[in-house]
Amino acid sequence: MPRILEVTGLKKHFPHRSRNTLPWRPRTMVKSVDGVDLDLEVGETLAIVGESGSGKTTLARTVLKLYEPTAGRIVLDGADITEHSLRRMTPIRRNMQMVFQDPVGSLNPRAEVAAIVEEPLRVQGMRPAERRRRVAEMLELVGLNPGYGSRYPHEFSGGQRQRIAIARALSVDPKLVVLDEPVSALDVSIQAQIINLLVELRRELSMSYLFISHDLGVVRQIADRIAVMYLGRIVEEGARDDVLLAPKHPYTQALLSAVPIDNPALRGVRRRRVLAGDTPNPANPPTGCPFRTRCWLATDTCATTAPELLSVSPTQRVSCHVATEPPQTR
Amino acid sequence: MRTWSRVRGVLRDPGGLFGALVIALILIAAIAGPALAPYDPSAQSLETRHLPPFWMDGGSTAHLLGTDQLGRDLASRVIQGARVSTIVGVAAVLMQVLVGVTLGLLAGYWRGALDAVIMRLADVWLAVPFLVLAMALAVVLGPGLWSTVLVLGAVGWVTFARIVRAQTLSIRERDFVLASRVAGARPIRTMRAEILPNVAASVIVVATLQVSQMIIAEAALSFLGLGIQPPDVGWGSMIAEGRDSLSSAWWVAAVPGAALVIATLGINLFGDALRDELDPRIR
Repeated sequence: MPRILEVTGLKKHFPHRSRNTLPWRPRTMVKSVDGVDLDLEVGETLAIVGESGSGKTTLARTVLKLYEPTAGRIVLDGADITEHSLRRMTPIRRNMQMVFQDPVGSLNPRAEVAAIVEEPLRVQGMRPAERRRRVAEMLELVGLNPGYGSRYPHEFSGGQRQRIAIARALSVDPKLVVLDEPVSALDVSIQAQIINLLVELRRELSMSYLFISHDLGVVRQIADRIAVMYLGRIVEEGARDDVLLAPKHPYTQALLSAVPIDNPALRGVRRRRVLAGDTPNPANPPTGCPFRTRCWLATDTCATTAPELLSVSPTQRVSCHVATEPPQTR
Repeated sequence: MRTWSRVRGVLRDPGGLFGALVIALILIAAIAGPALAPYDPSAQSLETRHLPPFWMDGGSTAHLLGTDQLGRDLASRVIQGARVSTIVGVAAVLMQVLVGVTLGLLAGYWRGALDAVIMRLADVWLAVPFLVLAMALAVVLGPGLWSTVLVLGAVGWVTFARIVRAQTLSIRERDFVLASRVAGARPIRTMRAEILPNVAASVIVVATLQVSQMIIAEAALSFLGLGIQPPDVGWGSMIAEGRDSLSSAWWVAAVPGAALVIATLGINLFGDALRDELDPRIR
């Protein structure tokens, strides 16, 4: 399959000046995204999972060039867009769209629904009559009454607002949609509806999704592949079932052991792995493996050398000295 | 629909209703002044100088609010003066809004050096007393109606720039602004289509209150002889003319003074009601 998105060595560092630092001291950098490789095939859904502060959202926004990348390359549909200026990005936006987490914040409260949905079309230069038709079409596509165009966002429920946001993102018929926790602000019953809608739309419109989430239950329903992020890096990446059923990285194992089990008969079978401590400060990450401070398998090597993302099977890669070492040398 | 319910909301407030009536009266006087005025406001009549208002001894219903030192009908002159107040108030505030909102949006959206330059300029502007700055400019530009507008417009933009900048700083962090960038919008479009509508309510409210400030400022400049010049009639210059006869014929100054007080009070009450309705946050 051809690739819609290829990201190599992507870094996004934010300057960070603590309160007590004098202006002429060198500023520390928060390494929100620190060397991420990703690729996404046409029609595929890649889920990025990780806890708060792992850099998921920064990764998503940097891929969309909402933040200027510090290093690395972003290739969308065969074209390198890393160095594109704001002006040159405008036509590219037709192919890459985004749905935000909070549908209250992502819809302008002073704009009518029709104006919100047609914003990308207007920017991309579609004529008014065509736009009107397209807006009605899009509202219908996401399961809203096309007559709602003249209403304001506050007249809708959370789920309906997220549908409006999806209609806006899909109005320009994008090839890649970045979904940044699109259901985590919604009620559980509504989450399923929106997930189903997204799955259905992806099939109908042959799009690719980059799906950011911290909810492994949601990811199970929508993802083809899963990448697990920790402290700005991908620690494990692979086909959905590989990652969910046979996680190799200790962090993924800990993450999965935190998912509640819905079958009471299975309770107690699985070992709950509770991580000690907090995520380290991304302005001052540990040497070597970023996870070693909380890892129960950490060795001396982990403190000195950062592990690389290595294949453990054709469909699974993991960044861990312990997991990728041959067992006999351990 | 929303607009109509807001209008009703303002009119339900007693202050808002009073203000709306005052504003309506001023506008009627400004537009239809010559048709309403019983006399030509500059017609002199030396036989009927310093006539008191009709309720006082010696007053007559022919000149309801009395006459001034040249026998001109005060009621007609007050009506005529409404035109100057309206033009100066509205035009000066429009100018301030145009400059202040633009600079505030740019400063708040781009932050950094541009923000620093604009806001330091605003600080310098605020450090000089308003009327002193206006007087200095008025001396340079020379008196007259339109230079008064220019003077007052140039002086008051800071208020708008600061409010708009502060709100832009918070609004620009909301996701819908980012969504507009995802759509491919350039910064100017984002500012106009996404941020501006969200600061409009505060701007409208502040602009209303600012109109009354400008009417007073115009009167002050005219009182000092730096504003409106004859044959134009302004309430400020009328008060100045009445100052000499304050002990013998106080009404010559008091009648335009009362007009000024009622007008600004009405506009302020209307502005307060409008604020409660549109933007309850900025008390």
